[in-house]
Amino acid sequence: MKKKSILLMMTLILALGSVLAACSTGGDSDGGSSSNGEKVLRLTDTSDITTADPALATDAVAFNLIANTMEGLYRLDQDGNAIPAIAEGEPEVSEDGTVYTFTLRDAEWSNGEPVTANDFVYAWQRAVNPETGSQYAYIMNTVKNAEAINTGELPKEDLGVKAIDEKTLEVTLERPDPSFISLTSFGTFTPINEAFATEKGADFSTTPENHIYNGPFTWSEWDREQGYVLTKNDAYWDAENVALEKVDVRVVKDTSTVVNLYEAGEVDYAGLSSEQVAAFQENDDYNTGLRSTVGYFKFNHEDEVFADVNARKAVARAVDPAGIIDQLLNNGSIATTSFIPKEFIKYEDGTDYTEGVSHFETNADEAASLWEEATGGEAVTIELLSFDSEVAKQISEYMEGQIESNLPNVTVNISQQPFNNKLELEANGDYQMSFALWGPDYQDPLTNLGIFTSDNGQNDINYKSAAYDKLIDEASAETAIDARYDKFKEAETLLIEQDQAIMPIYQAGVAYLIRPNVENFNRQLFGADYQYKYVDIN
Amino acid sequence: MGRYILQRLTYGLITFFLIATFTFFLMDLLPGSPYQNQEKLTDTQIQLLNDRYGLNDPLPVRYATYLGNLVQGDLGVSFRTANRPVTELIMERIGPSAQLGIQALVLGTFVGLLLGIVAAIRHNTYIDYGSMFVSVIGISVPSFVFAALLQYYVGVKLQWLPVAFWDSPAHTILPTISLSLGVTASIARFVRTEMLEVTGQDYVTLAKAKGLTGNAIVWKHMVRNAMIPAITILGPMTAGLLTGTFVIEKIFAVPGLGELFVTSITLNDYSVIMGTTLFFSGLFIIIILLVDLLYGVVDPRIRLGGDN
Repeated sequence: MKKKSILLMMTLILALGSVLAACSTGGDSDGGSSSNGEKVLRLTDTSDITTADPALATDAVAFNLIANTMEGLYRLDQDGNAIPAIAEGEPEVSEDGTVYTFTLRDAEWSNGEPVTANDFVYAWQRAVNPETGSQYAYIMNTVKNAEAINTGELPKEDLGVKAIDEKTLEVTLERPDPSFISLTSFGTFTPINEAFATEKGADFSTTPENHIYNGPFTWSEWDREQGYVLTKNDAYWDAENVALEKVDVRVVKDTSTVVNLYEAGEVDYAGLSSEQVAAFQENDDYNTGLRSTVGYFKFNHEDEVFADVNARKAVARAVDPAGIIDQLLNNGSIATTSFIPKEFIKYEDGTDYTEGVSHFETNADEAASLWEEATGGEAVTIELLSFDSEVAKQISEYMEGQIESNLPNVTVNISQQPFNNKLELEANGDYQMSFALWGPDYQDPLTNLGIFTSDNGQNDINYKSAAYDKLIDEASAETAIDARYDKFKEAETLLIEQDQAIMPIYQAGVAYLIRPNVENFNRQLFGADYQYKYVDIN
Repeated sequence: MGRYILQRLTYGLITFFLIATFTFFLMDLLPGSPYQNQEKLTDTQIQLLNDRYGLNDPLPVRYATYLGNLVQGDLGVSFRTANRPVTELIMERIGPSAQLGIQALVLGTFVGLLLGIVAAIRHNTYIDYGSMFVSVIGISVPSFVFAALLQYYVGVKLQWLPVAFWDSPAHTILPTISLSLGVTASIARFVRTEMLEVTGQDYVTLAKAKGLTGNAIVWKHMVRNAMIPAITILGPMTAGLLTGTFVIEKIFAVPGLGELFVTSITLNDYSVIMGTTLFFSGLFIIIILLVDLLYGVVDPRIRLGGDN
């Protein structure tokens, strides 16, 4: 009997072992996606497609899908500059800078229909129509009457966009807006074929079959919750400059799983978390890039401690960003004191907006004396509002350490809240200082600096400065690029250097592994994250 | 028996209704909005969207509407995935979760029974210590640790099995094993304890006296009795496994329900929170009823309903 049961167990173990062995996949560890001649880029994303409808898109996955399957008036080139796409050449602009007349090139939808001016009119009206319920409708506010239509005050036909004829589109803006051209590359501004969308009704864009495309790729397969495939669109006007045959995207939510898949040769790209960087830093496949998100601290100007500019300045000078950049994030993020991201906004001659910008410097002595001045030497306790992400937690703890050791007589308590709760506390002004991230919506300083004007709905730091409002107004009205950016810089100097309304601390980076034979796979700072149009595999 | 089942089903429905009500009102306390880019939206825009989705109606009105739709089997549409019906989202994902759950349950129960029985028969030998060591590890080490180890060593290093995804039967092996270890460990411990307890019972002595062989005593008399506590824990375990385990699904990129449930809560996707909660509760209620019915089958001493 003894022998029998031992035998039984051993049989079981052997059986299990042989099942394991039999199922061996024998995946090749060197990758090489173009080995069979077809150029296929294999990627992962953390979420499945939420929507392919340009008006309803809100997340990175949707905007990425739209940017690669649809094409608007303009498209960003590899350096992030807007270049004409469905627009044929530069538009004619009226003298006052508010009316743009675009001539459209001969382009086709994937069902053979021509792309016409009406496709834009239909798509834009649809996006601002309150019936559609678009969460990104506000991005169109620069177009005449967009906001009034979205709030139901005007009918959608009053939107400042008209089809003069099949190939001529006339757009009227609320006021001159130099960032409008690059904005037309954004997902919400892509055209939709009215006949097709009307025919499909509520099913429009819900599956690959219920959608048509005018961009470099078509959305050809969708295995729900598992992944999707983009296939080169032969009807695309610039198809000859698209190298990839296919982009195969699988849904994987866990970053270590993605790295394991990369090591097993099953995917060509793997984003790395800060903890994973150390293990791969010396690797040939290791790269870093910049994102347009800025990490910053908000001060509540109605708080009794932070109503005093010296208190705000003291905190800003007490913290050395190097600890955050090099130790906590360690992923290509850079220290900054500007609220405008680097490599995002450029002067006419190509100079970066942030070049030479330094609004404050770390200086523990100065910080301590400013703090004394603000508090009169009394003991103060500050609550630092933060949210439930690993990065936010680490950065807040680092801040706590820096403030407590560099400022006299201060205790910092971290209040770590669920993200939604934190937003609500901020909106109610129920906080002292808070860690936040902000990503721009369009390529103009207004998208970042505009939120701190006195009557802006997003101004939850309660900063009220007539001088700042005036500067932002003047800058927004300025149409000459260089003068415009200079004016914004002036406003930013007032906001951060003089008033220390906020404390920018870093610009987010991204660390990743990519097969060395994949070319031009660059993360974009504006709009969608990636453009597969430019990617090639050798 | 029929009356008993009817009575239990009525209680089940009441429980279900109470869960729906409590969840609905608790959910209203969640801060924030269901909109993805709410930091970018002004109050006016949020109000407009709320109007569009009927979220500005008073709570009792919304509750009545929800119940009305629920009775007609309409769980509403998801905010996150641009108006897709919640029923569709759940149906899409239930397959992989259920398959993974059943596989893990079968494997775990089988191995667990075997370990438990062998340990009890070989009480106080190295086989006993060995199998109990395995089950202590199985209980105390979380399944995601096994999952990560299996994925790295079996998937990446040895390349015996796929690292992740849910494409073929081979893809299901590693997640199944990871998920089954907890089941194996619990079952093994319960069965062993129970087996040791019945060893001293009169009917076992009688069986020996009748001259039955060791195997017959073990399988016919001891195992059947030792199964009862195992069934008790199998009930809730089954419901838990079928509805998906967030971590294992995440690690092996399994397109299951667990993930849908967790992300819907963090994103305030109201209709999906309600839909998944109700789905899970319904499943729980039914499985617990089934387990109670199963007791009667395994142990004739248990009379259900107390009427016969």
